[in-house]
Amino acid sequence: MQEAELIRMAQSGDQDALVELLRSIETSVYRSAYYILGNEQDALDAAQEVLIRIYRKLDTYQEKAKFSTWVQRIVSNVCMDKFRAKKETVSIDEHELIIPDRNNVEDEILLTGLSNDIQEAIGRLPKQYRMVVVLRYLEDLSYQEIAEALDLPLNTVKSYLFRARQQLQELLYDYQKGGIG
Amino acid sequence: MTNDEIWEWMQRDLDGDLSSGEKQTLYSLLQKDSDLQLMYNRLKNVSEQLEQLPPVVPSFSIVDSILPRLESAAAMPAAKLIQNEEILPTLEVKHKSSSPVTSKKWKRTKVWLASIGSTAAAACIMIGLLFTGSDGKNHEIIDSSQGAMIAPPPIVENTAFIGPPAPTPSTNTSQSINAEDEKKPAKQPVKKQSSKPPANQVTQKQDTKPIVKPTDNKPKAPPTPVRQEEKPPAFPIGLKDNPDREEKTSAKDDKENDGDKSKSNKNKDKKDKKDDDDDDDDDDND
Repeated sequence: MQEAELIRMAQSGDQDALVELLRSIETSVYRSAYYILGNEQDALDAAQEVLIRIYRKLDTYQEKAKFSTWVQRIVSNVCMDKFRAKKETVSIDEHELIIPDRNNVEDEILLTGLSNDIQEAIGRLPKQYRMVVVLRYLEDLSYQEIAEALDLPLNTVKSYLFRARQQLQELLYDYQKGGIG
Repeated sequence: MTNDEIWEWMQRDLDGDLSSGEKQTLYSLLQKDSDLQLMYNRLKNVSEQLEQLPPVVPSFSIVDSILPRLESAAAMPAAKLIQNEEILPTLEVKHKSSSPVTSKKWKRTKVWLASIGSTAAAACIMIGLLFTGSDGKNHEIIDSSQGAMIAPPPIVENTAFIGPPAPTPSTNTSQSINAEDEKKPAKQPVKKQSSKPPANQVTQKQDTKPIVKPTDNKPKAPPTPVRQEEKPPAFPIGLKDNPDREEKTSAKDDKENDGDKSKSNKNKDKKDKKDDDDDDDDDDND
């Protein structure tokens, strides 16, 4: 069943269609949250919150925008809320003291050294840059769609993306030189 | 073309945002400048790494974990909200149709409340008027009822000036007189010496008979001023008797001192007082 038809059925009150629609976006929501927030637990919490919000506010979605863009906008909002809450409460483990759980998804990423470096480099980007990079490379959104998702001007999105890539390039170059651990 | 513009074209090329002509121009510039080529290669490497990020997958189904919460009463799905919105107009219509009934009931209750309030206010005013009116009447009644026992105020003032300063105690004149009788033996000789000319007794009896009977029943010597001062004043009960006694004593003194002229003047005063007392008695009888 196509996404548009699922959305219409869910909006008309079909509970099964609504659950199926949520299942179809579950992985992408979690992936974005994971790369934006940087750890599995926060990503799971954020993904649950995003899916609940979509469940409750699906009636407000209009077909003018792309459904994935609308979903990613909710993801970015929830992640920003998480950033704020984390900043207000505890900020110790934001850069340090991250104890990896050997039985979770992070181990799969640690198997490849390159992905480990780029993931760590992404974690060092500013939040806005990180969101733009995630939406561009993980969700494969265009400039315009990123601008709609983050409610930013198009040129700002380009600027964020270009600067993010430049910073990542510099960070990875330093990793190769062994300067930053 | 500046380095910044070349750098922007590099970025756009990584995103596939350059046209074929722009791509050829960029590649020709990169072939001429090794530094620009190195920068382009680094950026392209970063972009390739980003594109090769592993697709992470949640360890469990997030939808299944939140389904109980979604199906709970607290979580209202969007579809139900839409249905509620569709129902809302009918609810508004029902509210409009039911509103006149409620308004009529409310108006009736308002009317009842207003009538109850107005009646209560009127009752309060009437009661207040009755009390205020009855208070005046009560004062009059009390005055008139006590008129038999109490002399009117102007007479009291006159007697106060005329007689000795000490007021007589109470209306129970018999007791007071008995007490006086018990105390009299020590002073009787004085009174016997000074009083009891036959003419004075006759005039006193004639004057006092209509006013106060107890004094008339006891023709013995009237109370001396000294004894009256010793007794505590009992206003207003014994006021009526005092003037008479004072008048009697003063009359006796006058008789002893002045003679007939003072007698005639005081008899006139007594007559006036008697007239006033008679008027009061008449009022009481009315």
